[in-house]
Amino acid sequence: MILAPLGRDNNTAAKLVFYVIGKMLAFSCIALLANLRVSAAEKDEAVSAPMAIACEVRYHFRERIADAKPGEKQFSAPATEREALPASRQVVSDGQQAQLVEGRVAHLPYHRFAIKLTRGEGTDVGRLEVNILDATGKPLSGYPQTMANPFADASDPDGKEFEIPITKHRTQVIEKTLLARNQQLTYVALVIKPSPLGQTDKE
Amino acid sequence: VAWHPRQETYQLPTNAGDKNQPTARKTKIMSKTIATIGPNKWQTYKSTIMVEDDGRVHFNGDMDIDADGAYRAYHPDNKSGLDNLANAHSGDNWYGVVTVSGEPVIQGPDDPAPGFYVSATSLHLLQPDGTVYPRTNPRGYVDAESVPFIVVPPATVEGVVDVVLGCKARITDTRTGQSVDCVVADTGPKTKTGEASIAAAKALGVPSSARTGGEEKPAFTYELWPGVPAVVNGVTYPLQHI
Repeated sequence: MILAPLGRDNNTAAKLVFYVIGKMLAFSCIALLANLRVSAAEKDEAVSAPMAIACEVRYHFRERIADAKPGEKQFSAPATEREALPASRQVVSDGQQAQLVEGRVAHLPYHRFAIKLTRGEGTDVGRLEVNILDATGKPLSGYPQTMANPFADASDPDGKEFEIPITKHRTQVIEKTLLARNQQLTYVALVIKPSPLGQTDKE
Repeated sequence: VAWHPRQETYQLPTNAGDKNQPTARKTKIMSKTIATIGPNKWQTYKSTIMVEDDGRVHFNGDMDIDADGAYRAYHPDNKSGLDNLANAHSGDNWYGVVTVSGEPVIQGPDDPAPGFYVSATSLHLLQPDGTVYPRTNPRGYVDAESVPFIVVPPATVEGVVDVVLGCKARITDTRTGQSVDCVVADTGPKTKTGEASIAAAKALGVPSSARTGGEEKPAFTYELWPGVPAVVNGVTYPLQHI
Protein backbone atom coordinates (compact mmCIF):
# COMPACT_ATOMS: atom_id res chain seq x y z
CA MET A 1 0.00 0.00 0.00
CA ILE A 2 2.71 2.37 0.97
CA LEU A 3 4.83 1.25 -1.92
CA ALA A 4 2.27 2.04 -4.53
CA PRO A 5 2.71 5.81 -4.62
CA LEU A 6 6.41 5.38 -4.09
CA GLY A 7 6.41 2.91 -6.93
CA ARG A 8 4.65 5.41 -9.10
CA ASP A 9 7.29 8.00 -8.21
CA ASN A 10 10.02 5.44 -8.75
CA ASN A 11 8.50 4.57 -12.07
CA THR A 12 8.52 8.21 -13.19
CA ALA A 13 12.07 8.69 -11.98
CA ALA A 14 13.19 5.53 -13.72
CA LYS A 15 11.48 6.64 -16.92
CA LEU A 16 13.29 9.97 -16.64
CA VAL A 17 16.62 8.25 -16.06
CA PHE A 18 16.05 5.89 -18.97
CA TYR A 19 14.99 8.85 -21.13
CA VAL A 20 18.17 10.77 -20.32
CA ILE A 21 20.36 7.70 -20.79
CA GLY A 22 18.62 6.97 -24.05
CA LYS A 23 19.20 10.51 -25.29
CA MET A 24 22.85 10.33 -24.26
CA LEU A 25 23.27 6.99 -26.00
CA ALA A 26 21.62 8.37 -29.11
CA PHE A 27 23.90 11.41 -29.14
CA SER A 28 26.92 9.17 -28.51
CA CYS A 29 25.93 6.91 -31.38
CA ILE A 30 25.43 9.87 -33.70
CA ALA A 31 28.78 11.32 -32.65
CA LEU A 32 30.45 7.93 -33.06
CA LEU A 33 28.93 7.42 -36.48
CA ALA A 34 29.89 10.92 -37.55
CA ASN A 35 33.40 10.31 -36.30
CA LEU A 36 33.64 7.01 -38.14
CA ARG A 37 32.35 8.65 -41.29
CA VAL A 38 34.98 11.41 -41.09
CA SER A 39 37.71 8.84 -40.46
CA ALA A 40 36.51 6.78 -43.41
CA ALA A 41 36.42 9.86 -45.61
CA GLU A 42 39.95 10.78 -44.57
CA LYS A 43 41.03 7.20 -45.18
CA ASP A 44 39.37 7.20 -48.60
CA GLU A 45 41.14 10.43 -49.43
CA ALA A 46 44.46 9.01 -48.34
CA VAL A 47 43.85 5.83 -50.31
CA SER A 48 42.61 7.64 -53.40
CA ALA A 49 45.41 10.24 -53.38
CA PRO A 50 48.07 9.22 -55.91
CA MET A 51 51.72 9.11 -54.93
CA ALA A 52 53.78 12.27 -55.12
CA ILE A 53 55.91 12.56 -58.25
CA ALA A 54 59.20 14.26 -59.05
CA CYS A 55 59.80 15.71 -62.51
CA GLU A 56 63.01 16.93 -64.09
CA VAL A 57 64.33 17.86 -67.49
CA ARG A 58 67.46 15.99 -68.54
CA TYR A 59 69.90 17.32 -71.10
CA HIS A 60 71.90 14.42 -72.52
CA PHE A 61 75.18 15.14 -74.22
CA ARG A 62 78.45 13.68 -75.41
CA GLU A 63 81.90 15.18 -75.79
CA ARG A 64 84.23 14.70 -78.71
CA ILE A 65 87.35 12.93 -77.47
CA ALA A 66 90.40 14.99 -78.25
CA ASP A 67 93.12 13.19 -80.18
CA ALA A 68 91.05 10.01 -80.70
CA LYS A 69 92.71 7.81 -83.31
CA PRO A 70 90.77 6.41 -86.28
CA GLY A 71 88.91 3.25 -85.25
CA GLU A 72 88.78 4.32 -81.61
CA LYS A 73 85.73 5.70 -79.86
CA GLN A 74 85.39 9.29 -81.03
CA PHE A 75 82.94 10.51 -78.39
CA SER A 76 82.76 10.22 -74.61
CA ALA A 77 80.17 8.20 -72.77
CA PRO A 78 76.86 10.08 -72.63
CA ALA A 79 76.35 12.32 -69.62
CA THR A 80 73.43 14.27 -68.24
CA GLU A 81 72.59 17.70 -66.86
CA ARG A 82 69.36 18.02 -64.89
CA GLU A 83 66.87 20.77 -64.06
CA ALA A 84 64.08 20.00 -61.63
CA LEU A 85 60.49 21.13 -62.01
CA PRO A 86 58.56 22.29 -58.91
CA ALA A 87 57.39 19.65 -56.42
CA SER A 88 54.03 18.04 -57.09
CA ARG A 89 50.90 19.42 -55.44
CA GLN A 90 47.93 17.38 -54.30
CA VAL A 91 44.79 18.79 -55.92
CA VAL A 92 41.24 17.75 -56.69
CA SER A 93 40.66 17.59 -60.43
CA ASP A 94 37.30 16.56 -61.94
CA GLY A 95 36.30 15.21 -58.54
CA GLN A 96 39.41 13.04 -58.32
CA GLN A 97 42.48 13.36 -56.15
CA ALA A 98 45.51 14.15 -58.29
CA GLN A 99 49.18 15.08 -58.12
CA LEU A 100 49.95 18.09 -60.26
CA VAL A 101 53.28 19.50 -61.44
CA GLU A 102 53.34 22.79 -63.29
CA GLY A 103 56.24 25.02 -64.17
CA ARG A 104 59.20 25.85 -66.34
CA VAL A 105 62.96 25.25 -66.36
CA ALA A 106 65.71 27.78 -67.03
CA HIS A 107 67.07 26.32 -70.25
CA LEU A 108 63.67 25.83 -71.88
CA PRO A 109 62.15 29.19 -70.88
CA TYR A 110 59.44 29.11 -73.53
CA HIS A 111 58.11 25.70 -72.54
CA ARG A 112 55.46 25.21 -69.88
CA PHE A 113 55.07 21.79 -68.33
CA ALA A 114 51.80 20.42 -66.96
CA ILE A 115 51.85 16.91 -65.55
CA LYS A 116 48.92 15.32 -63.76
CA LEU A 117 48.76 11.92 -62.10
CA THR A 118 45.36 10.69 -60.94
CA ARG A 119 44.54 7.54 -59.09
CA GLY A 120 41.51 5.54 -60.08
CA GLU A 121 39.19 3.47 -57.95
CA GLY A 122 39.03 -0.29 -57.69
CA THR A 123 40.99 -1.89 -60.48
CA ASP A 124 41.53 1.41 -62.28
CA VAL A 125 45.21 2.29 -61.78
CA GLY A 126 44.68 5.93 -62.69
CA ARG A 127 46.07 8.11 -65.46
CA LEU A 128 49.19 10.08 -66.20
CA GLU A 129 48.69 13.14 -68.35
CA VAL A 130 51.73 14.97 -69.72
CA ASN A 131 51.54 18.20 -71.64
CA ILE A 132 54.28 20.53 -72.79
CA LEU A 133 53.20 23.86 -74.19
CA ASP A 134 55.13 26.39 -76.23
CA ALA A 135 55.18 30.16 -75.75
CA THR A 136 51.82 30.55 -77.53
CA GLY A 137 50.18 27.94 -75.30
CA LYS A 138 50.11 25.37 -78.09
CA PRO A 139 51.13 21.80 -77.17
CA LEU A 140 54.44 20.63 -78.65
CA SER A 141 54.33 18.00 -81.35
CA GLY A 142 53.38 14.65 -79.83
CA TYR A 143 51.69 16.20 -76.80
CA PRO A 144 49.53 15.96 -74.76
CA GLN A 145 50.14 12.31 -73.89
CA THR A 146 47.82 10.31 -71.66
CA MET A 147 48.47 6.82 -70.38
CA ALA A 148 47.67 4.42 -67.59
CA ASN A 149 49.55 5.27 -64.39
CA PRO A 150 53.00 3.77 -65.12
CA PHE A 151 53.92 3.73 -61.43
CA ALA A 152 50.99 1.55 -60.35
CA ASP A 153 53.15 -1.54 -60.66
CA ALA A 154 56.90 -2.04 -60.61
CA SER A 155 57.28 -1.96 -64.40
CA ASP A 156 58.88 1.49 -64.39
CA PRO A 157 60.73 1.69 -61.07
CA ASP A 158 63.22 4.27 -62.35
CA GLY A 159 60.62 6.53 -63.92
CA LYS A 160 59.21 7.36 -67.31
CA GLU A 161 60.95 9.31 -70.04
CA PHE A 162 59.29 11.72 -72.47
CA GLU A 163 61.44 13.10 -75.25
CA ILE A 164 61.06 16.85 -75.76
CA PRO A 165 61.31 18.04 -79.35
CA ILE A 166 63.48 21.14 -79.57
CA THR A 167 64.48 23.33 -82.47
CA LYS A 168 67.97 23.53 -83.93
CA HIS A 169 68.24 27.07 -82.62
CA ARG A 170 67.31 26.01 -79.07
CA THR A 171 69.84 23.16 -79.33
CA GLN A 172 72.54 25.68 -80.17
CA VAL A 173 71.48 27.97 -77.32
CA ILE A 174 71.58 25.08 -74.83
CA GLU A 175 74.97 23.94 -76.09
CA LYS A 176 76.27 27.48 -75.72
CA THR A 177 74.82 28.17 -72.28
CA LEU A 178 74.80 24.77 -70.61
CA LEU A 179 77.58 22.74 -72.22
CA ALA A 180 81.31 23.20 -72.69
CA ARG A 181 83.41 23.31 -75.83
CA ASN A 182 83.39 20.10 -77.93
CA GLN A 183 80.20 18.92 -76.19
CA GLN A 184 77.05 18.34 -78.16
CA LEU A 185 73.51 17.92 -77.01
CA THR A 186 72.09 14.56 -78.02
CA TYR A 187 68.53 14.96 -76.76
CA VAL A 188 66.35 16.51 -74.09
CA ALA A 189 63.78 14.59 -72.09
CA LEU A 190 61.30 15.02 -69.30
CA VAL A 191 61.69 12.34 -66.65
CA ILE A 192 58.83 11.62 -64.25
CA LYS A 193 59.30 9.30 -61.30
CA PRO A 194 57.78 8.61 -57.92
CA SER A 195 59.09 11.21 -55.50
CA PRO A 196 61.80 9.64 -53.33
CA LEU A 197 60.76 11.79 -50.38
CA GLY A 198 57.03 11.63 -51.01
CA GLN A 199 57.12 15.43 -51.07
CA THR A 200 53.85 17.04 -51.92
CA ASP A 201 52.14 20.33 -51.31
CA LYS A 202 48.47 19.91 -50.41
CA GLU A 203 46.02 22.45 -51.81
CA VAL B 1 87.77 23.24 -65.01
CA ALA B 2 90.28 24.47 -62.48
CA TRP B 3 93.62 22.80 -63.00
CA HIS B 4 96.21 22.27 -60.31
CA PRO B 5 98.69 20.02 -62.06
CA ARG B 6 101.08 18.27 -59.73
CA GLN B 7 100.18 20.55 -56.86
CA GLU B 8 101.36 18.84 -53.72
CA THR B 9 99.39 18.75 -50.51
CA TYR B 10 100.32 17.04 -47.31
CA GLN B 11 98.14 15.13 -44.93
CA LEU B 12 99.77 14.86 -41.54
CA PRO B 13 98.96 12.00 -39.22
CA THR B 14 96.66 12.83 -36.32
CA ASN B 15 99.58 12.88 -33.89
CA ALA B 16 101.56 15.35 -36.00
CA GLY B 17 101.34 18.11 -33.40
CA ASP B 18 102.59 15.92 -30.57
CA LYS B 19 106.17 16.92 -29.67
CA ASN B 20 106.67 13.53 -28.05
CA GLN B 21 106.24 11.94 -31.46
CA PRO B 22 109.33 13.20 -33.34
CA THR B 23 108.82 10.76 -36.20
CA ALA B 24 105.37 12.05 -36.99
CA ARG B 25 106.43 14.45 -39.71
CA LYS B 26 108.65 11.85 -41.33
CA THR B 27 105.66 9.56 -41.89
CA LYS B 28 103.51 12.16 -43.59
CA ILE B 29 101.42 10.94 -46.48
CA MET B 30 101.69 12.79 -49.76
CA SER B 31 98.79 13.34 -52.09
CA LYS B 32 98.67 15.18 -55.37
CA THR B 33 95.68 16.96 -56.79
CA ILE B 34 95.30 15.99 -60.44
CA ALA B 35 92.33 18.22 -61.15
CA THR B 36 89.40 19.95 -59.52
CA ILE B 37 86.04 19.91 -61.27
CA GLY B 38 83.25 22.20 -60.10
CA PRO B 39 81.42 23.85 -58.64
CA ASN B 40 80.54 25.47 -61.92
CA LYS B 41 77.62 25.68 -64.29
CA TRP B 42 78.11 22.04 -65.24
CA GLN B 43 78.54 20.53 -61.82
CA THR B 44 77.05 21.92 -58.62
CA TYR B 45 79.59 20.36 -56.28
CA LYS B 46 83.37 20.36 -56.02
CA SER B 47 85.15 17.17 -57.00
CA THR B 48 88.88 16.90 -56.42
CA ILE B 49 90.69 14.14 -58.27
CA MET B 50 93.62 13.10 -56.13
CA VAL B 51 96.40 10.56 -56.39
CA GLU B 52 97.95 9.10 -53.25
CA ASP B 53 101.60 8.14 -52.96
CA ASP B 54 100.66 4.47 -53.31
CA GLY B 55 99.20 5.27 -56.75
CA ARG B 56 95.54 5.10 -55.77
CA VAL B 57 93.42 7.76 -57.48
CA HIS B 58 90.13 8.86 -55.95
CA PHE B 59 87.40 11.43 -56.34
CA ASN B 60 83.80 11.95 -55.28
CA GLY B 61 80.89 12.22 -57.65
CA ASP B 62 77.24 11.67 -58.40
CA MET B 63 76.22 8.86 -60.75
CA ASP B 64 75.11 9.06 -64.35
CA ILE B 65 74.35 5.73 -66.00
CA ASP B 66 76.30 4.53 -69.03
CA ALA B 67 74.81 1.89 -71.33
CA ASP B 68 77.63 2.09 -73.88
CA GLY B 69 79.21 -1.28 -74.55
CA ALA B 70 76.03 -3.14 -73.60
CA TYR B 71 74.94 -5.62 -76.24
CA ARG B 72 71.41 -4.24 -75.95
CA ALA B 73 72.36 -0.54 -75.62
CA TYR B 74 70.74 0.79 -78.81
CA HIS B 75 68.12 -0.60 -81.16
CA PRO B 76 66.75 0.83 -84.40
CA ASP B 77 63.21 0.87 -82.97
CA ASN B 78 64.32 3.13 -80.06
CA LYS B 79 62.16 1.09 -77.68
CA SER B 80 64.04 -2.14 -77.18
CA GLY B 81 67.37 -0.46 -76.41
CA LEU B 82 68.56 0.23 -72.89
CA ASP B 83 69.34 3.82 -73.87
CA ASN B 84 67.57 6.33 -76.06
CA LEU B 85 68.68 6.06 -79.69
CA ALA B 86 69.06 9.84 -79.74
CA ASN B 87 72.15 9.30 -77.58
CA ALA B 88 73.67 7.37 -80.47
CA HIS B 89 73.14 9.63 -83.45
CA SER B 90 71.84 12.86 -84.87
CA GLY B 91 70.58 12.29 -88.38
CA ASP B 92 73.35 10.58 -90.32
CA ASN B 93 75.95 11.55 -87.76
CA TRP B 94 76.52 8.47 -85.57
CA TYR B 95 78.50 8.97 -82.41
CA GLY B 96 77.29 6.32 -80.02
CA VAL B 97 77.68 3.16 -82.07
CA VAL B 98 80.30 1.54 -84.29
CA THR B 99 80.10 2.53 -87.93
CA VAL B 100 81.59 1.29 -91.18
CA SER B 101 81.72 3.86 -93.97
CA GLY B 102 79.37 6.03 -91.93
CA GLU B 103 76.73 3.31 -91.53
CA PRO B 104 75.94 1.89 -88.08
CA VAL B 105 76.76 -1.78 -87.60
CA ILE B 106 73.86 -4.03 -86.59
CA GLN B 107 74.55 -7.28 -84.76
CA GLY B 108 74.07 -10.45 -86.77
CA PRO B 109 72.57 -13.82 -85.80
CA ASP B 110 75.80 -15.04 -84.16
CA ASP B 111 76.21 -11.94 -82.04
CA PRO B 112 74.92 -11.59 -78.45
CA ALA B 113 71.94 -9.37 -79.35
CA PRO B 114 70.93 -9.75 -83.00
CA GLY B 115 69.22 -6.67 -84.38
CA PHE B 116 70.80 -4.25 -81.91
CA TYR B 117 73.55 -1.81 -82.88
CA VAL B 118 77.15 -2.50 -81.86
CA SER B 119 77.93 -0.09 -79.04
CA ALA B 120 81.49 0.65 -77.97
CA THR B 121 83.41 1.46 -74.81
CA SER B 122 86.80 3.13 -74.89
CA LEU B 123 88.29 -0.11 -73.54
CA HIS B 124 88.73 -2.80 -76.19
CA LEU B 125 88.80 -6.40 -75.05
CA LEU B 126 91.11 -9.16 -76.22
CA GLN B 127 90.22 -12.44 -77.88
CA PRO B 128 91.37 -15.69 -76.26
CA ASP B 129 94.44 -15.66 -78.52
CA GLY B 130 95.46 -12.29 -77.10
CA THR B 131 94.64 -10.21 -80.16
CA VAL B 132 92.14 -7.37 -80.10
CA TYR B 133 88.62 -8.19 -81.30
CA PRO B 134 87.66 -6.68 -84.67
CA ARG B 135 86.05 -3.30 -83.95
CA THR B 136 82.70 -4.43 -85.36
CA ASN B 137 82.46 -7.35 -82.90
CA PRO B 138 80.23 -6.43 -79.90
CA ARG B 139 82.20 -8.86 -77.70
CA GLY B 140 85.17 -6.57 -78.09
CA TYR B 141 83.65 -4.03 -75.70
CA VAL B 142 82.68 -4.13 -72.04
CA ASP B 143 79.03 -5.07 -71.58
CA ALA B 144 77.56 -2.30 -69.40
CA GLU B 145 74.61 -4.49 -68.52
CA SER B 146 76.63 -7.28 -66.90
CA VAL B 147 80.01 -5.78 -65.99
CA PRO B 148 80.39 -3.14 -63.25
CA PHE B 149 82.59 -0.42 -64.70
CA ILE B 150 83.30 3.22 -64.11
CA VAL B 151 83.65 6.12 -66.49
CA VAL B 152 86.43 8.61 -65.77
CA PRO B 153 86.93 12.20 -66.90
CA PRO B 154 89.90 12.71 -69.27
CA ALA B 155 91.83 14.55 -66.54
CA THR B 156 92.14 11.27 -64.67
CA VAL B 157 93.77 9.54 -67.63
CA GLU B 158 96.01 12.49 -68.43
CA GLY B 159 97.01 13.15 -64.82
CA VAL B 160 98.71 9.86 -63.95
CA VAL B 161 101.65 8.00 -65.44
CA ASP B 162 100.25 4.48 -65.25
CA VAL B 163 97.52 3.12 -67.51
CA VAL B 164 93.97 3.89 -66.40
CA LEU B 165 91.76 2.13 -68.97
CA GLY B 166 91.30 -1.47 -67.84
CA CYS B 167 92.61 -0.85 -64.35
CA LYS B 168 91.11 -1.94 -61.05
CA ALA B 169 88.44 0.38 -59.63
CA ARG B 170 85.86 0.54 -56.90
CA ILE B 171 82.77 2.62 -56.18
CA THR B 172 81.56 3.13 -52.63
CA ASP B 173 78.19 4.59 -51.69
CA THR B 174 79.15 6.78 -48.74
CA ARG B 175 75.57 6.71 -47.41
CA THR B 176 75.48 2.95 -46.98
CA GLY B 177 79.15 1.95 -47.04
CA GLN B 178 78.29 -0.52 -49.79
CA SER B 179 80.90 -0.89 -52.53
CA VAL B 180 81.38 -2.69 -55.82
CA ASP B 181 84.59 -3.75 -57.57
CA CYS B 182 84.80 -2.39 -61.09
CA VAL B 183 87.00 -1.89 -64.12
CA VAL B 184 87.69 1.48 -65.76
CA ALA B 185 86.12 0.97 -69.18
CA ASP B 186 85.06 4.31 -70.59
CA THR B 187 85.85 8.02 -70.61
CA GLY B 188 83.37 10.78 -69.93
CA PRO B 189 83.21 14.51 -70.51
CA LYS B 190 85.80 16.82 -68.95
CA THR B 191 83.26 18.83 -67.01
CA LYS B 192 81.78 16.07 -64.87
CA THR B 193 82.76 13.35 -62.45
CA GLY B 194 80.63 10.39 -61.53
CA GLU B 195 79.41 7.84 -64.05
CA ALA B 196 79.06 4.09 -63.94
CA SER B 197 77.68 1.17 -65.90
CA ILE B 198 74.19 -0.25 -65.51
CA ALA B 199 75.64 -3.26 -63.68
CA ALA B 200 77.56 -1.08 -61.19
CA ALA B 201 74.45 0.94 -60.40
CA LYS B 202 72.42 -2.23 -59.90
CA ALA B 203 75.03 -3.63 -57.53
CA LEU B 204 74.75 -0.51 -55.38
CA GLY B 205 70.95 -0.33 -55.48
CA VAL B 206 70.98 2.87 -57.55
CA PRO B 207 68.26 3.28 -60.23
CA SER B 208 70.08 1.74 -63.17
CA SER B 209 68.14 2.81 -66.25
CA ALA B 210 70.33 4.70 -68.72
CA ARG B 211 67.24 6.71 -69.68
CA THR B 212 65.83 7.67 -66.29
CA GLY B 213 68.13 6.33 -63.57
CA GLY B 214 71.21 7.60 -61.77
CA GLU B 215 71.72 9.61 -58.63
CA GLU B 216 72.14 13.36 -58.52
CA LYS B 217 73.72 13.54 -55.06
CA PRO B 218 77.53 13.32 -55.01
CA ALA B 219 77.34 10.43 -52.60
CA PHE B 220 79.89 8.15 -54.20
CA THR B 221 83.62 7.69 -53.84
CA TYR B 222 85.33 6.48 -57.00
CA GLU B 223 88.72 4.82 -56.52
CA LEU B 224 91.05 3.43 -59.13
CA TRP B 225 94.45 1.85 -59.17
CA PRO B 226 96.19 2.81 -62.45
CA GLY B 227 98.51 0.14 -63.78
CA VAL B 228 96.78 -2.66 -61.85
CA PRO B 229 94.63 -4.79 -64.20
CA ALA B 230 91.06 -5.16 -63.00
CA VAL B 231 89.71 -8.58 -62.12
CA VAL B 232 85.92 -8.49 -62.07
CA ASN B 233 83.77 -11.59 -61.77
CA GLY B 234 86.83 -13.73 -62.50
CA VAL B 235 87.70 -11.87 -65.71
CA THR B 236 91.04 -10.08 -65.96
CA TYR B 237 90.85 -6.94 -68.10
CA PRO B 238 93.63 -5.65 -70.35
CA LEU B 239 95.34 -2.35 -69.58
CA GLN B 240 95.05 -0.05 -72.56
CA HIS B 241 96.74 3.22 -73.44
CA ILE B 242 94.46 5.76 -75.04
